Amino acid sequence: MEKKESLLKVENLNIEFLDKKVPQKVVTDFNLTIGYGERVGLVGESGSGKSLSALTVAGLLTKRKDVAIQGEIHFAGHDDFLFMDEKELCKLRGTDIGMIFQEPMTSLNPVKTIGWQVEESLRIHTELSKEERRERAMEALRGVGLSDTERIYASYPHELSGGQRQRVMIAAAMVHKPKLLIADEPTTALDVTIQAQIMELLKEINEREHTAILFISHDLHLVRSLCSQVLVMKDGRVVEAGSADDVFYAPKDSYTRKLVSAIPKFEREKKEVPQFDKGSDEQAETVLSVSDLNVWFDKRAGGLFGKKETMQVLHDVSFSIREGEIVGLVGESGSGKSTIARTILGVNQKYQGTVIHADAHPQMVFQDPFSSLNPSKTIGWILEEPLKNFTKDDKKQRQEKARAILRRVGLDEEYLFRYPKELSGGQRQRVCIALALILNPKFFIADEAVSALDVTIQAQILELLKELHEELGNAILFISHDLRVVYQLCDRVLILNQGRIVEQGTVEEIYKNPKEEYTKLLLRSAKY
Amino acid sequence: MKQVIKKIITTVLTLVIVSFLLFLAFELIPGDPARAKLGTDATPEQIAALRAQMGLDRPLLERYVTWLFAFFTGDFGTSYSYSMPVGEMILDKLPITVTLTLMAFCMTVIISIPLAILMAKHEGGITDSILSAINQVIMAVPPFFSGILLTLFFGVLLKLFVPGDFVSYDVDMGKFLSYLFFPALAIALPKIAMAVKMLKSSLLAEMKNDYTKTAYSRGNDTSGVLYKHVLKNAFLPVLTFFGMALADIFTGSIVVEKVFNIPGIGRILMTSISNRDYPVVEAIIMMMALVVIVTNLCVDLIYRKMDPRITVE
Repeated sequence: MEKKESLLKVENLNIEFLDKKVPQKVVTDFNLTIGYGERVGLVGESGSGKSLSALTVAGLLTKRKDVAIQGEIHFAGHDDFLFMDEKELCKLRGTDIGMIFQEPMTSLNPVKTIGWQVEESLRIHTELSKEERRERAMEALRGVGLSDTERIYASYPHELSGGQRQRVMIAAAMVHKPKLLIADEPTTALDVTIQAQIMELLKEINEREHTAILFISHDLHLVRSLCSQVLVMKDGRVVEAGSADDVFYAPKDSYTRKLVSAIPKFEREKKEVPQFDKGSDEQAETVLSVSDLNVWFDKRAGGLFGKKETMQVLHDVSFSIREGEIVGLVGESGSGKSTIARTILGVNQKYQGTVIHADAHPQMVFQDPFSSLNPSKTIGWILEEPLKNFTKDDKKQRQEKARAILRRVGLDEEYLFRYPKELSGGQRQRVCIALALILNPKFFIADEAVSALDVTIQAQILELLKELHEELGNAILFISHDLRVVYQLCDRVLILNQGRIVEQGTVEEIYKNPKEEYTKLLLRSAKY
Repeated sequence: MKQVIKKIITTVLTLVIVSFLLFLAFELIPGDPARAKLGTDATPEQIAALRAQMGLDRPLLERYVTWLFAFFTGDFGTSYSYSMPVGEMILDKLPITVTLTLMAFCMTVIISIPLAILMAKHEGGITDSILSAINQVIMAVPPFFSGILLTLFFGVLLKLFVPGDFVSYDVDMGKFLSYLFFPALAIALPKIAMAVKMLKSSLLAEMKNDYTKTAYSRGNDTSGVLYKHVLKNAFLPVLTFFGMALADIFTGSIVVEKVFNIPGIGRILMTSISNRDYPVVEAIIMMMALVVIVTNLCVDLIYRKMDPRITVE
């Protein structure tokens, strides 16, 4: 191969969607250089064009007819990468370029064995025999830190855990030892402890195999932990590029500054309203008390004779929330967080123990603002519904209340007549919060309420929650997997692991001085 | 394996329940077979005597159990109107209907799968548009009408076969099969159209899944992604349809047998119903129920084989 300093050089890349009435430019003048063995991060929020740029670099976009691409890409001695025909591109994909994606479950074919999928690149691109392929696949599986490779080789994707699946994805991408590995949000769908492991693995692979990595993420913090160079994208343009530390500590562009400041950090302002979080204040009314909560789920095998199996998902969960308190409930997927929420709401009726709350109709803000609002009703109708059901207000009073609460969450009155689909994600989440507050509850639940939002929007919604809390003083059970967000917002925190509360206390106590191993692990992982 | 056995036991139980309901239904239908057999001028004594002879005077449950056991030992009773064993009557005509069913089913599978793949591959193109339009029309035409059209076109106009000139399988196998070709096609056409529509939309939906992106990233071209990754996934929901289609073709061949003048099971069923020949009707309905239930069982078992996610449950 001829001497080249850089592995990948993208020059003035422009991408346009042609399927709309007016062609829509989604990426403008994108430039990127990656050297052999380098780790480069590409950061941006949803719709910034980061994934599209990455797909183009992977040669996955050029075959689409509804997309117009201009520019130049030089990759590993191929100067006409963008305009290579499909056949030539196929030869590069899976050999010199490997790619992994956000959701390892759906990115693997559900009806093929892991072995088959890991070997696929070899089957397509090499003449290796069956035994040699198997050998290489095993090696790749061991290379991503999987033990028990014999079993995993013969397994199907659904039989593995989320972390294992992403390792398998990496193994499959690495099996042909590519020069460039493109990782598109590879840890976003994973739990925080698994995320830390995958990041560690990517670093290790880069150092061992000297594979360059293009790491795409919305999480600037995460990108900085892996990459030396960072590009920040917004609305299809690169707004800032430079070394990771420069971008993080001395951002030049205003958007980057906003992005950096929106990242929840392990620091918090002193509470201005201390009257709510006096731990010693026995006077404060308890708005929620949960004691000895045990929940079992029935797992029934199909058919007439299926044996009934029960699985305990919550073990002796006890906690209480006092008036005006924000309590964080932290746990990874499958820890039972949502079961606690569902039980408090009364959706889950099968439990042992006692749940006492001050409000007759506890409200909840859900994770996904896109699916939790009825798409066929106006915002006004949605907001008035709880009033119709639970109060004797007449139409005028209801409308007045809806208008007031909408203003309170920072939306204009005109939104009363809009439909959910006309609103952005952040606006919808504001509506959801308004909906939870309209009955003026003493307490509501926010279940991963900011997890689905872009980081700048997330910061706005967190700010709104803080403001509302200071003003209205309602208690919140804030369920989240994100320790940093919890640190910023909450007074106390409960750590949930496999259905048990392993540790609880004030945020300062837990974060500064965790006692349990699991809490320590969570905090270590979250610092990534 | 244990689950498969459970599944089979459930299937047998379902059959028993169906048989009881069927037996009960014939009890509740107004009209007395004995009276029907003897005609309107029979005396009450004559009818009572015949009822006793036919066993109709015994309690319901007893008769059901006897009937069921006889059924499982292959004794389907005696036809009221022809006074010959029902088993013989059916067995004689069964190969005709089974052949017709299998021919129609094979046509459905063999034609629909490649057609759906072709259309999915060139989605939105001119081939796809034309085929989709034709497909839509065919789907709307019921088999008896397409049967008439086929008879007109291939029989009367092109003279590829002589309508009504049915030759039984024990006389000339070749002529038998070639006569059944067009009836089978008439039955298969709407099924093909349905299957194509389902499989095509299933293929297109699967093509949008994340794993296809992974497949492309490993160096597959579109054909590779389609055949090696998408097809098996896309086929899963269509499998149920094929199962239903098979059962449906078997039980629904009556009308087409009538149009093409084929002396199959359908024809016996029609005459037996109008003659109140209950043992024959019962036997045929039981057989159809059996086909439906066994087909469902087979579809379930094939699912287990094809979709690794099912066995965990």
